[in-house]
Amino acid sequence: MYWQKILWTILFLSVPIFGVASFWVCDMYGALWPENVSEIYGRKIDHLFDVIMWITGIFFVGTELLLVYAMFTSKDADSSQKADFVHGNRTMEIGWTLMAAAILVFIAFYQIPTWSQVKIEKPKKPADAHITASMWMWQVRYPLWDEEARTPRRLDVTQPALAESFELVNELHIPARETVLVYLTSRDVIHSFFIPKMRVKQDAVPGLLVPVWFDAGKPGTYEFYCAELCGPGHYMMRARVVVHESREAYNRWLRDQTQRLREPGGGPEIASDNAGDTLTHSVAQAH
Amino acid sequence: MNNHPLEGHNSEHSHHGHEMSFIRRYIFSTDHKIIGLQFFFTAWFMMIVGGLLALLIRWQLAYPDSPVPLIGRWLWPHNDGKMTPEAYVATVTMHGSIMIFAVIIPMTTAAFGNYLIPLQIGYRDMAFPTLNMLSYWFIWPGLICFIASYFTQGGPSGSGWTAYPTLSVIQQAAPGSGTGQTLWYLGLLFVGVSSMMGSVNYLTTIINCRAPGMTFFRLPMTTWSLFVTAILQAFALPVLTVALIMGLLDNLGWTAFFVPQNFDGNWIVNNFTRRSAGGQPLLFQHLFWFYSHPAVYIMVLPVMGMASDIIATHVRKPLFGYKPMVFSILGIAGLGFIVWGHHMFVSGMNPSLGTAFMVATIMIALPSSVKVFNWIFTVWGSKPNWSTALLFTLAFVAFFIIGGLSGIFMASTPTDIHIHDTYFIVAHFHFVIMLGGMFGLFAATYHWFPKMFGRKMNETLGKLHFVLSFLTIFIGFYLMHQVGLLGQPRRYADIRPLVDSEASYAIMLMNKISSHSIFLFGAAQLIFVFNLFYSMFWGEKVDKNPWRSNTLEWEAPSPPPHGNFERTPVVYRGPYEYSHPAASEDYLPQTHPPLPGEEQYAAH
Repeated sequence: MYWQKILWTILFLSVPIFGVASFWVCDMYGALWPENVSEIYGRKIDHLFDVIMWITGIFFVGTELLLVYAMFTSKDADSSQKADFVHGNRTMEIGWTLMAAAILVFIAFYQIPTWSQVKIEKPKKPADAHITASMWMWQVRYPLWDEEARTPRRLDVTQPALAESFELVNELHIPARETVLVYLTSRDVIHSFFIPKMRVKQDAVPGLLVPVWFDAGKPGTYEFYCAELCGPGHYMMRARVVVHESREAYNRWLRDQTQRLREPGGGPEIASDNAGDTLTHSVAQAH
Repeated sequence: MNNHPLEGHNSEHSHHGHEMSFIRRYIFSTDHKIIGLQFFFTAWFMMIVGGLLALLIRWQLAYPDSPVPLIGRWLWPHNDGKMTPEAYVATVTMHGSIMIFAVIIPMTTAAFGNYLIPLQIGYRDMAFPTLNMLSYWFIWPGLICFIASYFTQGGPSGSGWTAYPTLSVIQQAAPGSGTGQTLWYLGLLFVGVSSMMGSVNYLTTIINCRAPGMTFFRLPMTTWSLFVTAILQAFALPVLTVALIMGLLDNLGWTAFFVPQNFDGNWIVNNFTRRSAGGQPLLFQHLFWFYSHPAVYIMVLPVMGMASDIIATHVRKPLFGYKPMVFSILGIAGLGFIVWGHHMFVSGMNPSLGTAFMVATIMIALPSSVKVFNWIFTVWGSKPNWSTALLFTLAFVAFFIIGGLSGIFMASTPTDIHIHDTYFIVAHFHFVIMLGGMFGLFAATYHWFPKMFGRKMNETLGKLHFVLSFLTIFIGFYLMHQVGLLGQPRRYADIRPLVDSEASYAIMLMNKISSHSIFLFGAAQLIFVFNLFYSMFWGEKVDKNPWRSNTLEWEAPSPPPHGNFERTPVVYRGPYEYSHPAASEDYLPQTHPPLPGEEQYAAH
């Protein structure tokens, strides 16, 4: 029976070893985390992730090793000894209950400020875009550029399809290095707006208008896609976020788009500008 | 004898058995053991169905471009034998629905619950045998609905096992949202009725029918956990039933509980126009998760109870901290009712609610960790016999640790934003329910098989089954954590276009490793199926108590006759007095009369 004990101990030892090693190897090859391009919000979420990863990692290895050690030091089935006759230990029970409670309370309360910042304390600024999800695309509505005021016009998020706005499909343009505020709704079923590299996710619910805010520090083009099952085409519901270098560059882009619209024929990448089409709707305000 | 009110019928009942026809005895039986075995075989059969669906899913994730081997050309001839996206979402939906509602819940609560409760409390049957029979026969309409949905136009439901409206309530929204979805609602309603009948029966039986001397704190953990599970079911299930009926009425187009006010009075879904109404899709999520989060504990608590019994028996040592184990089950069950919102952190629910749900959810790790520590310290200083049942139980503990700890990532609202609906959560719940729950059920099968059939399962085949299952399933599901963190979403029929991410190569590689590991796991189960049927007829014959266990079920003959016990057992002590210093053997059955000098060792 002794060899059996050794064999099973080694087998169970593979759990913490493979568990840690596979994370470590993935991390080494950059295959654990998508790059984080968000400097304000995403960075905080990643910090929380690291905190939880370390705490749970230590507990994972610790408890698995404790189990393996208990197996390894158990009495041999062939021996004449009986197992220990112990029913428990009140001090130990109270000890590990209090320890676990303290750590868990810390984890819980440590999350709250970031959660408030990311989902509760909506930034006080005008909406940058309005996104309508539908099977299986994202219609993004932007305000037109106001040449006289030299600002974007106000985007009425309850009626985004009014004449002040234009629409692109599957392309979300945002400026870098500032908080972006978009409003999200759905035309048919529930979808979910997910930008992995900015650590943003929010369901788009028909009948609700949900504000979402996030930021990108690094200009470039990133992927965003649907994360809530929305029918057979769910897997095709992917789109791009284009991060412009600065607010100025973004404003220039808005102005170009607006000017193109005024030209006969319109711009090629603009999907529709028909105020009062099927997109015209009023949406119950969620907040 | 006073606390055994239904005692009077006992002797009269036991000779009934001989006069019964085959049909009354084995098909429409009111004997809890036959009903337990009916559930047992039905659930293992559905396990094969659900498992084959899982293999299809893994094939699609690893080889989205290749025809499915063997069956592809026959099932999807118009698509070169490749799985269609419609078939993929339907497969995902039916895999989840079958595994949860037709495999794990019937297996834990109905199969082992029915079989073990009367035996462990020392009674001849359930309190309501006819109700018990009905509870079995009510799952069949449910299973028939599930299976029939494959033969409807549009196929089975494709809205996930969670069936979120409005995808599930507007028939035109997707191919599976029509008759397939209607049948899904009906099927779940029938299965729910069956669960409710079982739960009422368990509560009544455990409260009223315990043998003389069997106080609540002398109940084995299996019975305790089934008792608490029955309470969970009794309180949570009505809410799901309400949600399902509302969803069904919406789906049939008669009401609009979940169809919101939207868009100039009309709804346009898939070019179909429907009048909009003042409903609220999030309402369904609240009602659904109010049941379906406790359902996780309905699935895993009985396994925890059985694991406690199996560990103590096979390591020949009293369970460490019996009362803390009982209180932690109660704690998990109580907290389980106030954490449903953690499925909805990014659903559009008021985010302030998320804060409250987060704190409650994280605290549920507390009773869970108490249980883990108690299991580990039961093994500490013990004398294990290294049977297959013990190995599967220890693997349950090892995997439950992973599933429990990864839950903290999801419970924490900010980190949940990134991993919600990715493969990280698929890894998490499979570690709890599949690697934890299923391994517990394997252990329970190996452990109670001698009681059910009077023969032992083959230990050599059992250990081979264990080693192969352990390694393949662990690698197969562990890598899903990494692909989930990398952003691979759930329920994607083809993940490759994600591949403009730098990690695309790693994502595909890990998916392939996962898939192949899980294929091997599937193959290893053939050993188990063979062992199960082989041992049933040709296994080693054993006496009534082959594991030298203390609990009452081992006092009855194997298999127990109709009426279970020859004499009503009398209980003198708790269920875990293994290696008692005052006893000559290393076990001391609950029915053994008090030993001289036993009091000085009494548990505090």
